[in-house]
Amino acid sequence: MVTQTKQSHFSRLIVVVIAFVAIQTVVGCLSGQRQFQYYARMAYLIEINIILTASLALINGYTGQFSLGHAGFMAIGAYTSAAITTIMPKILTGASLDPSTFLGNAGFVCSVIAAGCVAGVFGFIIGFPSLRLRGDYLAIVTLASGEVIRAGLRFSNFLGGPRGIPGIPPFTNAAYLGLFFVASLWMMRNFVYSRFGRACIAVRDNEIAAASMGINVTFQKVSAFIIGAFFAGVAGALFAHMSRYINPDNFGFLKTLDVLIFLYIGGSSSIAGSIVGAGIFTIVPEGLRLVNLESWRMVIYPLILILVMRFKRDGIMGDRDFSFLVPWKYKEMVLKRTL
Amino acid sequence: MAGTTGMHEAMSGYIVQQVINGIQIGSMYALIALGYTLVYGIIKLINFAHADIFMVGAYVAFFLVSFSAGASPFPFQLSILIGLAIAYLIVSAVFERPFIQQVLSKTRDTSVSAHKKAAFYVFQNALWLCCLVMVTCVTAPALFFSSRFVFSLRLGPLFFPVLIAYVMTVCAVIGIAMERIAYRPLRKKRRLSALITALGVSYFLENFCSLDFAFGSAYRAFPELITKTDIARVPGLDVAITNIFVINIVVLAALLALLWFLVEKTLIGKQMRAVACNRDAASLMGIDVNRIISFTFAIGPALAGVSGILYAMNYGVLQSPFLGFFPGMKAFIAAVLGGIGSLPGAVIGAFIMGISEVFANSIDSNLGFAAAFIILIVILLVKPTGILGKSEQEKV
Repeated sequence: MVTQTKQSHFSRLIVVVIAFVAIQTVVGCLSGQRQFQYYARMAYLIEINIILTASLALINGYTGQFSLGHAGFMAIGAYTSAAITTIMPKILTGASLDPSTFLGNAGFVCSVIAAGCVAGVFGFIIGFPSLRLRGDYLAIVTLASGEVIRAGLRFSNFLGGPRGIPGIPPFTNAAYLGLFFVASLWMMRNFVYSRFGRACIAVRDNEIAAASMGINVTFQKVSAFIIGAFFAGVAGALFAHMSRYINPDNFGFLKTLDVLIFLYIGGSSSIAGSIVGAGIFTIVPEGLRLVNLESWRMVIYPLILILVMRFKRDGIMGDRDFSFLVPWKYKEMVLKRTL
Repeated sequence: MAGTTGMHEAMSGYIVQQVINGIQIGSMYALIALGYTLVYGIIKLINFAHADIFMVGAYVAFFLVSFSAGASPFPFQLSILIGLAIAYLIVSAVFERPFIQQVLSKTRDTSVSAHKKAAFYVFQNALWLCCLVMVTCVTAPALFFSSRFVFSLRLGPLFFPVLIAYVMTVCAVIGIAMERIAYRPLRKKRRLSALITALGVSYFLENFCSLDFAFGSAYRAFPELITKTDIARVPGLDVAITNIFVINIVVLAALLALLWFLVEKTLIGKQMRAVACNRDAASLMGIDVNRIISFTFAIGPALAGVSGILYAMNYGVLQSPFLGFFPGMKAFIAAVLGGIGSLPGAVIGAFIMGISEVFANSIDSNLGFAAAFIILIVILLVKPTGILGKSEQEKV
């Protein structure tokens, strides 16, 4: 490993940020054109999937819980934000929020944050069983919670019931997505490379040892659930305003499985793993569609997952992270341990 | 006064009818739940793919019944899949023989140069693959013609038992192959990897079977195997007992008796209980743990396959290869409710789940959907060991 200087570390970070802004600008400019709409949508979907996968990584990868209810958090986020931008204004003024007005945009930003907060509350509720249960039982309970959320959404006529919410205004554009994407990843990265993140890893590796080192295991587990759910809610809100139509069946168990596959193939305990996993495996099916093998996508993914679990359990990235994501202070520490 | 009695009678008739319906569904869940509980008891793994073996059972029954009714040609794709699974088992068993292992272990010799090692590795795998293809070329046609012959006979009243036996065999083969391919290599690793693999296997089976050349994702109406008739009425109440209900109960009772005999009275059952109790100690006592686990993965799926037939008979329709998810989840919840690892517990739990589902569904179909999961969450928070489960201290 080449040792970096502090200067080269930060200049690399700046290069990455500039490159991202440039790509996002190009995508944003092209998304207006009809023939590029599809590609722009792909780019947006990749970013949303990366946020989702990284938020699941906080729970499953870093804290070592096994949550199968992630689509439920996403659903909560999507429905909360759609309620704020579509249902409530329709009741109050007769029309959903308008993307061209300042008020509409302010409402959208608030709705995304509110989506995260409400999902976080659900994360708190669902995170509680993790104090008593572990491993397979926790997996089943979180799966059940996700399904209960979905059943609840089908049940509630206020939120459209099984028919879902149509006509959500198209707020998600390149600028907003870029902003929320960078902000979410940056916050998650800060969580992961902080005292909090190290405590989570300690809980994952050995709960009893972590507790005896003075780590509050309960606090770590529940807050990992809350933070993971928060960002899943944000991703759900962005998804709702991209697809413009949501229904409860968008957020079933298969959605969770997709995210799990992104996570475990990419590598569950690094942000880079989430980026690589979600990035590659959102694009691959489009390639398969070109060669008319689209129905095979769902056959190939689980096969890859099985093979990864058998031969390379840590996924593509393992616990390596992109160099620009690792804070300089942490990097010095890590370098000393020659990791 | 007379009016109230009438209403009272109608109400109790309704309740009794719902309980009977619940028991009918519950007997289907019980057969799935037994498989979950057996496998969990032995290797502490939630076999998510179990629900999909249930689905395979239902589809195999569908193809066989429509073949014998003359509605469709004998499904060749089925025999290719199962032929492949059998061939895999044969080839891997042959390759595990000590003599062949001795020859193959030469690659591990440190004196051999790296590229020779690589060449040998490639040769070894190519040989393995060739053997697999060759054996499949024998097993698949053999299976195809033999089963086509059996099912083109006019079996009459024997048809149903033969169908059950055939589906049980097919599901057992798939179960053993699944364990060999996916779970055995992971047994010494973290349990979470096995759980993720189980999810992967489940997802794979669902989507593979949805492909057009396998089962296809179309909605299929299951041909009427036995005409539904009322064979008895409960005196005084407006309640009918159908022959389908009786078949459900009889099949469940027969298989339970068989399973009880197997687990409690035979040597292999004793070995199974020993492995469930303590795997390391069992292997020290000379029990072949791998064989016992394979055996468990044969029994559980075989029962799930029968349950698939019951499902097809009860509902008369196969929605898509994803149909296993909800019955599978409910059966798993039943296993947890009864105390995982306990066979009578699984059956009791399944009846409770079936009855509660029927009552919840009669209030609202969305509620029936959520009721099972709410039961699960409550059970795990209040009494995680279930009704008949033994409390177990977490080992540190």
